Formats: sequence, C-alpha cells, structure tokens
Amino acid sequence: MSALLSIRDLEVTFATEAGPLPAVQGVSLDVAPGETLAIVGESGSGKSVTMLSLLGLLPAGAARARQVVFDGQDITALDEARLRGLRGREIGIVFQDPMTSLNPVLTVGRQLTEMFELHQGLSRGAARAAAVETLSLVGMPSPKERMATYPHQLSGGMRQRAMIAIAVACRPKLLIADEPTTALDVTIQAQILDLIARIQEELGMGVIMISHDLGVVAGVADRIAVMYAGRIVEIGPIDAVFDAPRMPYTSGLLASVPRYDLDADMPRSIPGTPPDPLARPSGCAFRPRCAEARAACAASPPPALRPAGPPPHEAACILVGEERERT
Amino acid sequence: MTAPPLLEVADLRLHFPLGGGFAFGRRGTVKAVDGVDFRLEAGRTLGLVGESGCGKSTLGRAVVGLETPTSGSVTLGGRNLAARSRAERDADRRRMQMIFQDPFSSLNPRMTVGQTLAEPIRLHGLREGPGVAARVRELLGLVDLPEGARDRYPHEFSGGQRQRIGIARALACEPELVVCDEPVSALDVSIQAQIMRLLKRLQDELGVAYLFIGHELGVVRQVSDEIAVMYLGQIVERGAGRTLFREARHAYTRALISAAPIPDPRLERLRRRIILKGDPPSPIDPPSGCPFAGRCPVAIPRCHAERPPLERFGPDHAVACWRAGETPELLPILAQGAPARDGTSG
Ligand SMILES: Nc1ncnc2c1ncn2[C@@H]1O[C@H](COP(=O)(O)OP(=O)(O)OP(=O)(O)O)[C@@H](O)[C@H]1O
Ligand SMILES: Nc1ncnc2c1ncn2[C@@H]1O[C@H](COP(=O)(O)OP(=O)(O)OP(=O)(O)O)[C@@H](O)[C@H]1O
Ligand SMILES: [Mg+2]
Ligand SMILES: [Mg+2]
Repeated sequence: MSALLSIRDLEVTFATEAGPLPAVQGVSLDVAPGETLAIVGESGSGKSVTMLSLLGLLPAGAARARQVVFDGQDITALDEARLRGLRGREIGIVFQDPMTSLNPVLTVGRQLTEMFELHQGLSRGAARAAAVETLSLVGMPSPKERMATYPHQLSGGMRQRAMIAIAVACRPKLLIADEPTTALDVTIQAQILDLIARIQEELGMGVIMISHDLGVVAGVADRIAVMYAGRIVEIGPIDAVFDAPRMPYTSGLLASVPRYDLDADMPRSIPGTPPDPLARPSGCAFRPRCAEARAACAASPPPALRPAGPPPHEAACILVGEERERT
Repeated sequence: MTAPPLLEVADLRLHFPLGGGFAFGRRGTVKAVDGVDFRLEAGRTLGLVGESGCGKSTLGRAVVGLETPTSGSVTLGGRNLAARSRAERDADRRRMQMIFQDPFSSLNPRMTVGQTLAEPIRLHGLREGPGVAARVRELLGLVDLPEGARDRYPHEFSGGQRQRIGIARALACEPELVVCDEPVSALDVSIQAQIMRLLKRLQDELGVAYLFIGHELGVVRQVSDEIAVMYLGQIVERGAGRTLFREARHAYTRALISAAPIPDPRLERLRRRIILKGDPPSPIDPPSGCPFAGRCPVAIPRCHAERPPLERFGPDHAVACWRAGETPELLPILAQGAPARDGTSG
C-alpha cells in the first residue's frame, strides 16, 4: 500500500542568539493508512518539531525537506492558507496540554461547530448535530449538555476528550498525537488510548503517536521510530525493535524502564546526558554515552540508517554493519 | 519491648476548609488526607501511589511538618511531633527532609550549589569552619556531581543534575527520613534510572528511610520495600513491594495495574484493561462508603453504604475492600482470565 505520509530528508534549524540550532537532521519516515507509528526519544530529541514542521507551525524558513507527500500531494509547496485547510480537515492534532490548543473563551460546542462550518461548509444546525455526534463518539457523557461548557469547566480527561473530538471532527486521514496522555492519570490514560484506537479503527486513520513512555508505545504502535539528538537512530516494526534493538541507545532506553510486573533488578541506566544541541559531538551523537563506542564512531557524517534485521527494521550504528560483515 | 519505629502515622487527617479562608464556611471541606495509618522502619522505603489529587503530597508535607494535621499524630522515633517544644521541633525538622519533583523551583537561583549545600550545615551547626567546605565536597561526591559544581548556579545544570543537587541538599542535614515527592517523574527514563539507583545506593550507605511518592508503578515497585495505594485521602491497600502488584486485591489497585502500560508489545496485546468509567470523584465531601465505590465496576450496595476498614489479608498485606476475596476472578488483568464482564473490556 502506498504511504499516506512520506517525509524525506527533513531538516529543521532554528536561528537562536547562540547560533543556528539543528533541531532535526535528515529525518525520513512513512506512515501507511490505518497504521500507528510511534516516535520516542528523550526530551529535546526533536519529536515535536518534526511534526510541527509538517503542519507549517514553525518559524518561517526553519524547516526544509526534500519531499513531504501527504495523501498523494506534495505539501512542501503549499501556502499558509492551504496548509491551514489541511490542518483541521485532513490532519488532526492532539497535544499534551489541551489548554494550549482549546480556546478558553469559546464553549466546547462552538469550537466543534466551527470545524464543521469552516471545513465542511455545514449549516449551523447541521454543524450542531455533527458536533453532538462527535462528542458522543469520544465518550463525553451527556454530550448535548456539554456543548455549552467552557474548557476550564472540564476535568483533564474530559478536556483531552474535547480536544480529540475537535481533532477527529472532520474525519482526518492522519491523527498526530503529541504526548496525548502524559499529563493524565493512568486510568484516564487507558480511557484515552482506548478511545484513539477505537476511532482509528472506525475512521481508518493513520496515527503518529509521540511519546516518551515505552509502555504506552508498546500497547498502541505498529512501528516505532527512536529519535536521538535530532535524528532517527532506529526504526522498525514494534516487536522487532523491542525484541532485538540494534542501536545501543535503543537497548539502553529499553533497559532503563523499571518494570512493575517482573522480579527484575533495578533498571540499568544510560550514563551521562543528551548533548547540547548547539555543541553535538562529531559523528554519532550518542557516542559519549555509548559503552560500545570506538574511534570510528567519531567519523563524520554520522552513520545512516541501515538494515538491522528483517526489513523494514533499520538502525543507525556502525556496529550493525560490522556484525553483518562478520556473519 | 521492641523499639518504636522511626516513623509512625496514626489516623492522620488533613482537611482544608473551602472558600475564602472562612474556616467554618458552608462551602464544604477538602478531605485531602482522611484517616491514614502507617509505620516506617529506619533504613526502609515505603512507596505511596495513587491518582493525582488523592493526597500523596499533602500526606508527605504533613509528615515533615510543613502542614499541621487536622487530627491524628505523626510520631518520630517514639515521640509525637505535635507535643514537642519549639527547639525540639527544629531538631526534628533536620531529621526529616523532603525532595521534590521539580528541584529547580525549590533551589534558590541566586545561590551557588556550594552555598545551597553549606546553608543547612551551618544552620543546624553540623560542621564548623573548614569542616563545612569539606562536607560540601563530600556531599557532591555522594551524589556523583563533579567538585566544580560547587561554584555554579542551578540554571547551569540539566534536570537530572538539579535533582542530584536537591538530594545533596536534603542529605546535608543528615536526615533519618527523606520524603521523596515524585523525584523522578519529570526526568527522561535514562536519567530516571540514574536517580533511582542513586537513591538506593544512598540508602544502603547512609541508612536513611524514604517515604517515596510516585505515580509510576514500575518506579515505585523498584525502590520500595512496602507500597501503600491511596485513593481519595485514604490508604486502600498496602503490601510488600515485591508482591503487591501481583497479588493486589482492591478493585482500584487492580484497575490501576491493568491500566499501567508494560513496555513489552507481546504482553500488552494479551492484557485486559479494566476501563473505569468517569472521573475520579472530588475530595470535597467525599462519599461516606468506600471512596472508590462510584467508579468501581464490581461495587455492591454495601460498598456505597459502609466504608471498608483496612484489614489484614495475609502476611504483609492489608486491603480495604468488601470484595477483596473475589476480585481476582471478578477483575482479571491478564487475558488468560475469565471472559470480560460489565465494566471491563479487552
Ligand atoms: N521555536 C524554537 N526555537 C528554538 N529552538 C527550538 C524551538 N522549538 C524547539 N526548539 C529546540 O529544538 C529541539 C527539539 O525540540 P522538540 O520540542 O522537538 O523536542 P521533543 O523531542 O518534542 O522533546 P519533549 O519530549 O521535551 O517534548 C530542542 O533542543 C528545543 O529546545
Ligand atoms: N492548601 C490547600 N488548600 C485546599 N486544598 C488543598 C490544599 N492543598 C491540597 N489541596 C487539595 O487536596 C487534595 C490532595 O492534594 P495533593 O497535592 O496532596 O494530591 P497528590 O496526590 O499529591 O496529587 P498529584 O499526584 O497531582 O501531585 C487535592 O484535591 C488538592 O486540590
Ligand atoms: Mg515534545
Ligand atoms: Mg503531589
């Protein structure tokens, strides 16, 4: 099946007082219709920026890509107005903190009906009916009555439902969820993840789930991309990457998650901290923290993604190539 | 006669009156902590888990004396803190320290790390003259910070390093008990593991006891000897750290476990989530029966009428649930259990 979204060689560089900050360097990825791709990685690794660039939500000139094709259309050339149209209608977005994207002075109902009037040209009455229907789709109790409430009158979980309602109102082909449950209690998180999975099945949406929680990712993703210091360092089917991680950063990450379900020892930790984006080391950016690093790891450019198991599993580590040569 | 435990909390209540400072206003009361009992032995860790707003931080603050209990008692080394003189209370303060989720907000941005660490040492008269600087150096070493950190300011450090500074500051007082309020929740997993290991090592070396507040089950499971689960201001279940999450009997604990994701895709596909309906109830005038009854998928009329007591359910295990004997069958968590019933889904 052809990809719903295909990004090639995305670069995002911010102009800062301290100099150019390379937030994303050469990211390429595909999402198929109906599939969930998870993006994981430490704070500052470039997960959010990758998605914001896709939506035209970054400072002008910051993002550059060889190609971004969404649903058969190259969107690198789209102007702001066309991108905005794509945003609510074809691509829905859910952020960690619903208060930053819900409008505090408009009722939930108004924000939803607006989506239908704006993007689908529905009449006021039809938009209202569609809005109530969407609220019940996301499991909002007494949806008719909730139309008149303001975001601050809702609990965190209900607000996240309202935001998901707005994101999926126009039945988008792609949902981008950036840490959608990070601020929520696990019992509410389970409700929201359940909800996203249900809507995904119903609408056949592709989903990009950004998360730092490997447990969440294990439960929802078909494929996973691991980011480190602005690059994808490993990508592949979820089972393959969890079973046989090939980039030492990925294995370190997996080993540092404490388990409550096993009689495991204290999790292993990765020494050190991620590099300052303004002063990344040459070659592989993980090198200073990597137990298996060797002189060759310092050579620029950093290793590209290469086959790391049955396709489409890939990792960006020189060790992967070496092992293959040995066998 | 056995020695008293390091810390004993008995029937502790912390109620906040609502509405503009009128203590007797008619707007209701937030029962943030509502009848909590536990003991903690020297050098051990009690983990405290529960949803946002269930009263974990308030309980922790009450233990170290930052909140005044509405009723009940906090006893340190056999002495009731409320009955202590002012001078004695200062000494008690030193023996109990707290570290926070966001170390940055609790560090003075205008003080160097060295000054931050030296302050409590001088304040409590723990060292004198050159002994202070030597102790600061020792503390930095204890938390694996380079000696040069002494002359730098908090904003120059990463989140994990700031947490190390917060830990060093707590240790500067040579406490017997440290209340850790979500100390790793804001950190990336790779850094989180570093801090967990550090806390564990410090406990082994210094014999300090922890009241460890967290919401992530894996973290709490790894650091705790014993775990207490809180819901709406009450401890609803308590058990050994190694086994509680395997043998949980309270309907809420089981729901919590079933909702907590496991970083193993194959296992995740086999699991059965207990999806709770609705939101957590408000601690403002909470229900009179079981605090969980309103969201509980297997509540019976008695649960709404009568508050179940926290009762022994085997060695090292206590549960406050009227249906504790049946919950493993009623609320299976892994797929090999019984088919889904009302209130549960696959
Ligand atoms: N508008 C901006 N101007 C300058 N730098 C920025 C801007 N937005 C993001 N950055 C920087 O880009 C890098 C990547 O940020 P990004 O928000 O994508 O991280 P993330 O992986 O989403 O992290 P988190 O898990 O904390 O959300 C960081 O170093 C960040 O400080
Ligand atoms: N000073 C106060 N006045 C009134 N209500 C308060 C006060 N402090 C806490 N509360 C309330 O008491 C309840 C318990 O709060 P607490 O901060 O102890 O919860 P918590 O379990 O630590 O939650 P979290 O996981 O979000 O940190 C909440 O409903 C809170 O709003
Ligand atoms: Mg982000
Ligand atoms: Mg708290």
